[in-house]
Amino acid sequence: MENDYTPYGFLSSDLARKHFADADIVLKQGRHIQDYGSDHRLFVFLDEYYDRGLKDYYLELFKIRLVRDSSDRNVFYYLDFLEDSRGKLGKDNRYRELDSEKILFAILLLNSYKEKFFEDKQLKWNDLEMIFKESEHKQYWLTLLYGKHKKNYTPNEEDGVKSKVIRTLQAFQRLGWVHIIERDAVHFEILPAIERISRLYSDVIENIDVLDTTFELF
Amino acid sequence: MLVVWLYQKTQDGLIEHEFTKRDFDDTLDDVLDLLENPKSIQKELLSRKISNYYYRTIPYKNEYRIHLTIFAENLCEIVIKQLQPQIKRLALIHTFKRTLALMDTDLENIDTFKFWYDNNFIAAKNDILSHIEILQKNIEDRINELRQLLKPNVENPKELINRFLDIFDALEKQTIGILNTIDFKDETWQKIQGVKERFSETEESFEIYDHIQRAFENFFSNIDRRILSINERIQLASKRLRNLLDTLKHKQQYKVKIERLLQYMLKTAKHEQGQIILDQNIPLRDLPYLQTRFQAVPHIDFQVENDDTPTLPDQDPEHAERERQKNLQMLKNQEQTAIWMNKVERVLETEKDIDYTEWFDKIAKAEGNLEVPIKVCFGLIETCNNSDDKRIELQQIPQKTRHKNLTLWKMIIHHTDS
Repeated sequence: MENDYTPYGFLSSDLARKHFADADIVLKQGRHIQDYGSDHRLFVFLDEYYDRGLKDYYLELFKIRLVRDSSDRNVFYYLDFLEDSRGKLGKDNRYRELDSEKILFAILLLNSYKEKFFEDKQLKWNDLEMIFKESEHKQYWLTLLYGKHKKNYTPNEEDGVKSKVIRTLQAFQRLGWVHIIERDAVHFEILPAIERISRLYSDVIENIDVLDTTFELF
Repeated sequence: MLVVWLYQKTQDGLIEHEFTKRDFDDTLDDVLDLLENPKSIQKELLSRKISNYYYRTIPYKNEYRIHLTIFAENLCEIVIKQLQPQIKRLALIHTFKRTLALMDTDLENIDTFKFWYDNNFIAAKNDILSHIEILQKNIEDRINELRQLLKPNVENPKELINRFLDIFDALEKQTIGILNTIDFKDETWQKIQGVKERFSETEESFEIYDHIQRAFENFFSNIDRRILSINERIQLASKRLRNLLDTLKHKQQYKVKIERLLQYMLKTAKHEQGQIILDQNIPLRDLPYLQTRFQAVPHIDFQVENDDTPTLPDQDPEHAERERQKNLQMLKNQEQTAIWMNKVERVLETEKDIDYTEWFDKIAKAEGNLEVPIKVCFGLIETCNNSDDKRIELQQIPQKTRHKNLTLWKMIIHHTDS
């Protein structure tokens, strides 16, 4: 006779019937779920069952980690690979590399998020333009974004950079790192889950002194 | 500056409200001293210029005295209020109760109501706006100062945080003061609503009433939003401040490291073909990304008989065959190009120099097309460009080929032993 015990009892709960499928799909698509906007329902479900079977479900069946993380006491959830394996998401098309451009923007947004510790975390195109064109490091930003450092840029060049920023923000919105308030005005809010980029690069952040010193030497 | 200085002196009782010419000259000297006696300012000219609007000279006993115009006094009051805001916790609500209070006599007829609007409401409106603007600026300044706390090497952080907590407590009290003021407006609003019927008797009076009512409603709904936003900012900053003490040191170090990482990335990254390429010390990392694909959604309508036969798209077999042949030919050409290039390179090893025009004809004849010899030619050019011991010499001498419509320049490939 089969044992009636089921280790994933949470699957038969009302909350799971309503939200498990949605949460599972978006988590596997790389989304970070926090108590914000329409993700509130999914967040409540994850928060309720994280320690009651949900964490084990992903670890045992998919060999990946469901992580509960936080930034300044704001909790968020995401899926992460184990140290030595990508588990069942290791096959082609089940993971994606974060490209250079996105890493740079994510670190920029993380820095702004930390800077705005005492305020709301909204940014507008003007704020980004100030960073790109007026900050201490403007020559680097301009060279990287426009390809060359000069006094004025053509409307086409400006539009090109703006579109690039919007595309990156849209990708971040899918990840749950930002919420776009007004797309064309490039008005958005940085969400606590942006902290994930610091987890991805924690080793580099810890060793930045060494990296920086080596770079200065050469 | 001179007018403000004079006004301030009269307020402080240092000079009389109707002051003497000597008081005026002394004050002018003070101002010029402060400005380090600029040569461009001529006392007489300045005094004449400002006398038109800002002061009047009147006979007083046996002499002449000067007093500031009411316009100048109002102007000075506004300037001083902006520069040295003296907001007190309950100041606004008191002003408000005095100026905005709507008495029964104000509602006697439409003229008295309009008088209240012009003289009480407008004045109160300006007062509330100026309070809110000052408060908003105050909060922005304080929040900017707070950012310093996250920088490393802050001295006495605990003391500093406590000081900021006091500042934000005071700001919070001011907001509560303004919120009380806003509550008070509800009473006035109800009174205005209560006389709607009375002022609807004639079109003219209703228009005035409606205008006042809308102005009142619009102003306060706008103010409500601004106050709530100010309050949220204060609450957020106060909450963060209270949480900061435990983790301040760690936060400062961490923030500095992130800033340094960003600087490092900026300094070492490159822009290549429209793309940003990060330094190799910043490895690219993966995130889970399981794309959900629905290739085809079957449409099953159980109401009608379903024969389970899929609907196939219309196909043109001849076109499909032509496409297949075209692709096969393309593959064959690629294969033949590689074979011919090998042959030419082998010959080049032994013969040192070859004339490609001869080879062109030979390949074209064997393959029955021009695509392969042309591709071989481009392939050889590329090989020579990447090689140290092979060199192409082009002579602009037209060479006839077997094809009537085709003429080539003489192309010799040299091979030297390096």
